[in-house]
Amino acid sequence: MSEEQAGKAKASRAWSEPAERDLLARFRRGEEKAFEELFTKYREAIYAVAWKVLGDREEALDVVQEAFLRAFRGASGFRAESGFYAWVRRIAVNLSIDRVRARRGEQAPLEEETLAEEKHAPAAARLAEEDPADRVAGGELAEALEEALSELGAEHRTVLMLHAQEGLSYKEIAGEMDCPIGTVMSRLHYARRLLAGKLRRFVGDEE
Amino acid sequence: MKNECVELNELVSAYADGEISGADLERVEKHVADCAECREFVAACRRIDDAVRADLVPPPVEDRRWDAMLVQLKAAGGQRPAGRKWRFHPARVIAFASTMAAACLLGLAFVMLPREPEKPVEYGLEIEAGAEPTDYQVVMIAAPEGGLSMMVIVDIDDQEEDTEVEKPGGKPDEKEAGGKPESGEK
Repeated sequence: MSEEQAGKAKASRAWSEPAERDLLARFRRGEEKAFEELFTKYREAIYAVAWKVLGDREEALDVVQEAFLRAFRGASGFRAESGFYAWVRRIAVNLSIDRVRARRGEQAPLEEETLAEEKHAPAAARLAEEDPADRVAGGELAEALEEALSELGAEHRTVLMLHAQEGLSYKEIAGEMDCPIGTVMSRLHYARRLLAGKLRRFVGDEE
Repeated sequence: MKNECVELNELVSAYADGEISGADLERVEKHVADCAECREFVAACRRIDDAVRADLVPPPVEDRRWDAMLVQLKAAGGQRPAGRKWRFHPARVIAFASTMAAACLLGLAFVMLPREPEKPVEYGLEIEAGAEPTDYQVVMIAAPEGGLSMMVIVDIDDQEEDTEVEKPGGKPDEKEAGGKPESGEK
């Protein structure tokens, strides 16, 4: 994601500073109207984040509700340094990761060792493994992407989504997910390796 | 895939994101210029990000669904979860303070109100002990001015001997028994 695109994504969620500050002050005092305004402003963005981690509409809506509820109840303890959106997004990301883990249960997510093996497989062999019947015409990228993402572990998917969708830097993602920058780099790389293999016909032949 | 591709590995991804600098950047730049596979991967990284951002669009949510959610949030927001921190509730504080004030007033009244000095009180009691009934007398000695009270149980038979009452089993001389609590008790 270019810096310009990331900047636009962030700017689309921002109010003017005094307006936001005033709204957050009212929110901290427990004003319901302020909460309503914040909910209306950010609900779609939080829903998109949750959906991109979970891949399920109803579950994503549950996460949105839970995340805003926690924000509502924790209003007095809210610190404005990171901004309201980043705060609720963090809650939503953690809730989504927990749900993916619970859903998978004992089934281990596709980990980096598996992805590393895939990385060493020749590109021709990867293409040969794809079922031609599964190959769909153009415009089906989203479907293929969803399917490929479902094979990633929750953490890998979240890192990719925070970087590509939210435009966060490695450092910001590390802060968001409480992990070292090296882990962010590693997760993002392996997530892309897997997707590049799965979506080769969409993203790999243009050079 | 070349050995250098494996070595650089994650750095190629970071290079695509502009997250490396210095010696790492120089090395990856040089490698990518020479390696078609890594060059392709760098391009793929950017397309994947674009696809995640632009093509991966969540299913729409109707306005009435959002409205219903907001109503639920407002209703649930007022119900605090268990184990939360204590919060200031004026009504509860006033009720607690009133109760404490009333208790203090009662206590103060009990201590401060004048009372007549208490005189020693004596009570007669017959206690059955074992097969044969034995007469005991319970003497309550209440000191004036709120001092310590004392209860003494006196065996009437012994007392009769000590006080030389003529008729065993008869009514003891109460004043005599109460007058010397230390002696004669068992």
